[in-house]
Amino acid sequence: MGALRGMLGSKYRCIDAHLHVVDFLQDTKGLQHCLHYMDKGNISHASIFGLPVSKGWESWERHPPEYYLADDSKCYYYSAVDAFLAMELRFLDSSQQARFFPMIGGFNPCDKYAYKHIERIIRYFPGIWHGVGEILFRHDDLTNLTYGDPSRCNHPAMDSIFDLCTEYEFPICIHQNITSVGTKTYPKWLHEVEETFHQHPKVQFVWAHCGISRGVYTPLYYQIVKRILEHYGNVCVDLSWIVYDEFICPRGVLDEHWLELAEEYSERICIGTDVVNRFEYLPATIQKYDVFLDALSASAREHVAWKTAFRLYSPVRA
Amino acid sequence: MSCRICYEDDCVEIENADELFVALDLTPPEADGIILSQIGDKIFHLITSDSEFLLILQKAFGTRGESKQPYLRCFGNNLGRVVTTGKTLSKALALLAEEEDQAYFLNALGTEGLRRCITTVADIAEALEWLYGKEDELFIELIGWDFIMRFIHSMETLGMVLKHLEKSDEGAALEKIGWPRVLACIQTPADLAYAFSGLIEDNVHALIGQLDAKKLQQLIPVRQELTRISQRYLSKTNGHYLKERYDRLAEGGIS
Repeated sequence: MGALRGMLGSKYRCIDAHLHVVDFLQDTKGLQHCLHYMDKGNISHASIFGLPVSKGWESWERHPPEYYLADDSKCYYYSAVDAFLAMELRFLDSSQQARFFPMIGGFNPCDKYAYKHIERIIRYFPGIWHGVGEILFRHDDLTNLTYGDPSRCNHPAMDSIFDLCTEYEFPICIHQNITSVGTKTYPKWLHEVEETFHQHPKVQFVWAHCGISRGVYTPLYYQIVKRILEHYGNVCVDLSWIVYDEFICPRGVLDEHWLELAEEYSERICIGTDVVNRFEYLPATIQKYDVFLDALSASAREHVAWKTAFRLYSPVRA
Repeated sequence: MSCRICYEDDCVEIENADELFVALDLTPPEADGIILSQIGDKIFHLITSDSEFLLILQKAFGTRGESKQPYLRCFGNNLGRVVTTGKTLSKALALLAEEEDQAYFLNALGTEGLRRCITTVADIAEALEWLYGKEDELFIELIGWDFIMRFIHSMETLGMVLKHLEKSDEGAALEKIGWPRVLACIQTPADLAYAFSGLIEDNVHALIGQLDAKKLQQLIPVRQELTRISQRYLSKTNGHYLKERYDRLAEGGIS
């Protein structure tokens, strides 16, 4: 198979369980544009997030940054993103809207008043929300570049958010790295994740990228994810972004352990692109999972590609 | 209108610059030439703006200073259609790390194309910032000193241009501009400070020699300033020369 094959999309009908429709400047190419590439990629639906932070252009930077890692400018929490997301949906007809599962996420997770933001968004834009996320906790350089305390999933401010999620039956997608970029010998933040999953058993969590991001590595990783799925029935994972390229299918070779895991827990595993507003990447990014889906049984494949995400995200909850 | 590209076993239709970027990203850098050669002059169907031009320029053939000339050649003599602003000009030059690429790029734009991009002295300075040696000369030759001087009304603005030239070329540049025009840029003590701090020693010496009594009085109204200026900006030799000239001319009018 040639390298350009990806641009033709997946051979399987998929749900993109992890798609950001704005970038770090809070710009969007629009949901119509997104739909065009979803069609090309064979993506029937998508769970869509904004981004809770906006990259500034600080006085000390001569050239404007286009990505959070582009320079030393800080990021700040940007709550308007949820309202903008709701407004973007209004440009679509009802059949198009039905292909998106919008999520609320524009708040500072270290603020004990953050739950009020969710309440306000539901009040002013009712009847369209499917969940909460992607909430950015421990996230390597992004955490360090964001004003305020480092966010973590077991922060006391999150208790009221998790209570709201229980009340509305919102699934909540969280990004919490399993360890820091500088600590590769053991998963130093795993205890924060487990504490959160343990203390909020009624919350439906989706652990984004299984706790991995750029430069993050821990030994025994596959076993850790397996244990999490085994111990916490309220946790699902999305295999999005670099967890796939670096652990599940490194250099195009599938890891047997991950295949076994996906087979066993297929009803709690979904796939996502983690595309950030560059929708032209949707076909190729979703297509990369084909080799993984090919290797699964028909039943597991159906869950991982579509059913798990549909069960988690498709109901409108508020 | 889309363009069909093929690589190894696959063919796809590319509709815009974003999709071309994805295609270049999915394939190895050595495939970029193969892909771009299939697009050829249809590139204008895909690349329709400055930002799209830069998007692909960043990506094509790698991101660590590789030659990007085959991409530039797709545009032939119409590069000016997608390089229309000073910002694009400087960003493109920043991305072109090979001197031959820079020379090709500048010549392809030509005098007309380059001048059309330039609306401020900052546009000139930011272009020169990414050019070295022969390419500095080529850029200036193409746009011309007469054109450059339209944007220069102070030593600060002249300094913005001169500071990016090779030091060995500075004297020749001042000669081409002509001392009367250089002196016209020096109207305030701040201009004089820019000149003394920015020019190389030989050219500061030459400048001091051009300052007549009237100009010296305008720029250094009181003698006490001489010491401060000399200490802060001048070498010992030039400090002595300025003091000697000031004192000599003072007899003719400076008190």
